[in-house]
Amino acid sequence: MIQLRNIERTYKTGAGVTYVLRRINLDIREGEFLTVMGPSGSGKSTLLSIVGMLDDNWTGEYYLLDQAVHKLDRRKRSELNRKYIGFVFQSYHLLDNLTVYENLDVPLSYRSISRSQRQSMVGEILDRFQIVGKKDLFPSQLSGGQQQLVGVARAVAGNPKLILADEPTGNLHSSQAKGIMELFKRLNDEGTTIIQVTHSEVNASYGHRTIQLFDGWITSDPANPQANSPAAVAR
Amino acid sequence: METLLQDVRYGWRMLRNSPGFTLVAVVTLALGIGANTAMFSVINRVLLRSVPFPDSNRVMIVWKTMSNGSPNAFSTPAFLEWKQQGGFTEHLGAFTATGKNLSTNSLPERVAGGKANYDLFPILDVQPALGRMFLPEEDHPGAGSVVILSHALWKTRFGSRPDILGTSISLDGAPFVVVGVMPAGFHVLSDKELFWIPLQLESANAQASARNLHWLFGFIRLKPGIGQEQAQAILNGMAARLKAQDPTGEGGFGTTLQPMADFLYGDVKPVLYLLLGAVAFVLLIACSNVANLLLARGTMRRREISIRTALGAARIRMIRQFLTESILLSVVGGVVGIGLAWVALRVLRAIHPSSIPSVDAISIDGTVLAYTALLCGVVGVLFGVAPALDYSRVNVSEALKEGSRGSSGGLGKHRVMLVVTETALASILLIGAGLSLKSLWRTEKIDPGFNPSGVMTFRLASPAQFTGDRIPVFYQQVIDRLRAVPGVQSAVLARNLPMSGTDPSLAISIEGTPPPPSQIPIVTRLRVVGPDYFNGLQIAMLNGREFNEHDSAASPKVAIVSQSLAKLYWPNENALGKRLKPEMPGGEWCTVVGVASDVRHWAADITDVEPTAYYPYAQIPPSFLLLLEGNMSIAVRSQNSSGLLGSIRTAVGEIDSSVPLYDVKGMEEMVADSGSLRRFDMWLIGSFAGLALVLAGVGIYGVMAYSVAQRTREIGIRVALGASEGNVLQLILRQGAKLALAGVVVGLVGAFALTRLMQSLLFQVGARDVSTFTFVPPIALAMILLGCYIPARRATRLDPVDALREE
Repeated sequence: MIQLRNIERTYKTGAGVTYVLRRINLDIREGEFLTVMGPSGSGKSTLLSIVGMLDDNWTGEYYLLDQAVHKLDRRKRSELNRKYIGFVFQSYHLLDNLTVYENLDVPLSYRSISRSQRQSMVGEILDRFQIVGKKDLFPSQLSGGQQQLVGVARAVAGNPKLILADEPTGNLHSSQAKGIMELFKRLNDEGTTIIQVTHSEVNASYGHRTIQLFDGWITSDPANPQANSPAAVAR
Repeated sequence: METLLQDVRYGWRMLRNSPGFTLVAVVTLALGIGANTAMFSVINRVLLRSVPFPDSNRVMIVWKTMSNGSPNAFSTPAFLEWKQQGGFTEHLGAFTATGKNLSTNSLPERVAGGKANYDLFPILDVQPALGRMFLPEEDHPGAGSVVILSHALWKTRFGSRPDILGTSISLDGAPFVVVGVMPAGFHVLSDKELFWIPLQLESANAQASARNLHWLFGFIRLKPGIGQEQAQAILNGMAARLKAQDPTGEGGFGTTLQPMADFLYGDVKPVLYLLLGAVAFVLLIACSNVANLLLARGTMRRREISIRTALGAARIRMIRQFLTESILLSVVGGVVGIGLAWVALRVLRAIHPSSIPSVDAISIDGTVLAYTALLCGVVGVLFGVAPALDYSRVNVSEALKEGSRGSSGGLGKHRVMLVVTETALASILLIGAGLSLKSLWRTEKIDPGFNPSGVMTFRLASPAQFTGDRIPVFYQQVIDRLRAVPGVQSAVLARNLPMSGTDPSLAISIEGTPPPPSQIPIVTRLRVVGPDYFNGLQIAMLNGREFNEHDSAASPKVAIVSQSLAKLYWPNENALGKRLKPEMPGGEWCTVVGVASDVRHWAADITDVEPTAYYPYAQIPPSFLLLLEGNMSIAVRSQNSSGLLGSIRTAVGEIDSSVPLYDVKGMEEMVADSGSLRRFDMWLIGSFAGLALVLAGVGIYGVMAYSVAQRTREIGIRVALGASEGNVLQLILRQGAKLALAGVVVGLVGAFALTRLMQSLLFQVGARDVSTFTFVPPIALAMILLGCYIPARRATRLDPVDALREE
């Protein structure tokens, strides 16, 4: 589903150029549940942003469902994002001034979907996530776990093929985290490809494969024992 | 006091530390305060200090009421009649404008002046700077010739000589002894007056036939304790007595009082007050902008405010600190604004709009500075109070917890209210400007009835050697020579050219029409013109013929009437062959030989066209002709105006080189001058509306930029959820459009209520003109939305990764 070839991401700083990602080569199969781990600053979130097409300033080759993302302009990338990808954030990032219902409607409103169709889709999601009773509440009226539940529901609303989750349980206590991870597992079982960034080994255990990042390099990838490492490059 | 100084010091430091904010706020305030200072300078000079006499609001012009109820100047007999009533009108002042050729060492120069009776100067209560006023005996006919000079004439033509008193100067070739010099700035009716001579009114002139010549302005000064209404009642009582003595006499029609300032600046007053209202709107918009900037800044200062509060600062102390800062800002804005006003007044003086009196004397004086200082104080409090109250309500614990993070809440009701207010004010101004523009457009489209293009006009008085019957000979010689100048298509003579600022009238009798039972005479506009006048000015002859050289003093008397006169007195009849008689000394029955189309004589934008009778110059009775001396105008039409004036001077000089040409003007310029006040009004309202719109645009820009900054996280989320650039653009523009639309709607309602105040200044346009109210608001909306576009574009370029990054 996803092929990344020699992806590099740099930031210009006063002292010169700082590498955030280096020569990332990664293949992700459709239906896979991939976990990205590594210490803070290792480039996990940046990798997720690139895959989610929120970040354009990278070099290398990126194929999503056989489409060469690196050759697409901003507009086309946005279209791909809308069509295939759903995001889940550590801080939920629900829109404060919108109700649960309206939050779920937001991603759908950015797709060419009629109002009536959107209504039925949001209704279905509310049912599926058992949050019908909360549809008129504002995020501030929900607990952290409930907010993240809405966050996941919102990511799923547009029927994405790929869910990108950036530390989705980082702000939740363990029982809430468990619920969310089980939800991801269920979604994955239903065919959705998931990439999660996490520090939690427990969360990682829900996935099929875990890759490790360190200082922008993939230092471990079970699917690619030859993964680049700083040491290997130095040789 | 010490804490106040501390507040000032701290406020000053705060302003210095935020140069961007300070610059924008100061420039915005300077524009608003500067426009107000400039406008007030004009009002201060033209309306507040225009009449250069002590206690000038007690000086009244006395109008003779005509039989048809309209006010007019006094005729000699009427003036003397009223003076003879004694009491209140015993010392009635009299004044009439005059002009003389002043000869010093160089060529004679035409100078404007006035004739005043002895009683006038005590009424005006002004003492001369040098010498004395007229003596009672100098105001009698044959008492000799004395003159009082204006300060300007004394300075420019006589080098401010202190020994000028007692010397003799030459006016129209006759010696006049200088007895006084008036203080600088003194004038009676026009700041162009450069000398005054005694009126020396002859009671012999008071013959019945002179009753139709209304040439004397009457003046009185109200005694302390007597108001205008009381004085008017006394005059009405006198009129009733006169009517009882002579029921058919004109004295019974009475007199009307008018404050002098009202007479002099009545036309300009509403325009200036309207413009002052417009600049007040601009200032309010500027205040809204700065208040919005302060509110946005307050968000960034929440932490400072909360720390101060936590350290024990009372709310009132905080409010005082913030008000000090805002007054400091307005003072700096005021200082820069005075500079801008100074530049604006220089531009105004350079443009020199003829409709604004005393333009050269408009300056920023002590009164204006005091006004600006007061304005700075008021403005400082006005834009500072809402932010100060807002700041002082900060929730300390919340603010300290949040740290420096901005709130992600809405715009806040203060901000919304300010933006809606300024958009509404700008919309009102723009609609006002639209109405003015449409009026001007309508005016420009009016056909004045003649063709001013390529016509040069000037005036000249007959020289001393051409007197009595020889005066027409002089003018005929001038016309003949001018017609011989290469390129000249026509040269015509007239007593009063259209749009020259004079519009005399005269009573007439119409043959076959019995005198009206009320004794009200038929009054028409009087035009005394030379041969070929209608052809020369290209006024259409609708019937009959134009005057020619055969219409001489010896030939049968003829007249041409305007279309409106013909329609009024001979409806459904042919006016040709009908007879009318001008009620002038020696006036005879004249046969109508032509009907000319109507001419807008006073200005293009006067709705009513007055019935007019034209008489050939050569057929005017000699006794009446004397009064025309020095007042003839000549209009020369040529293919090419370059070098024309030189040729005209040469042609006149060949007859008498000592005759000065004066009031030299292109006729197109005269037409333009007649609409000068409207154009001045339109340009200024238009400029203020433009400025208001720019300020409102900047205001909404500031608010939307603030909003975008506040919504960074939200925009990042939306982009992550699939929002395209278009979606984000739409999101921000929709928010701005809601504010702009609300403002424009409020503005429409406001304009609906307020534009009726400018109805009297509009021409052929209703104060609630549908097309203006339809087309202007979308323009305002579009311009204001431009202000939203920049922050909206910026929002589309936000990096979602940055926006979503956790702190």
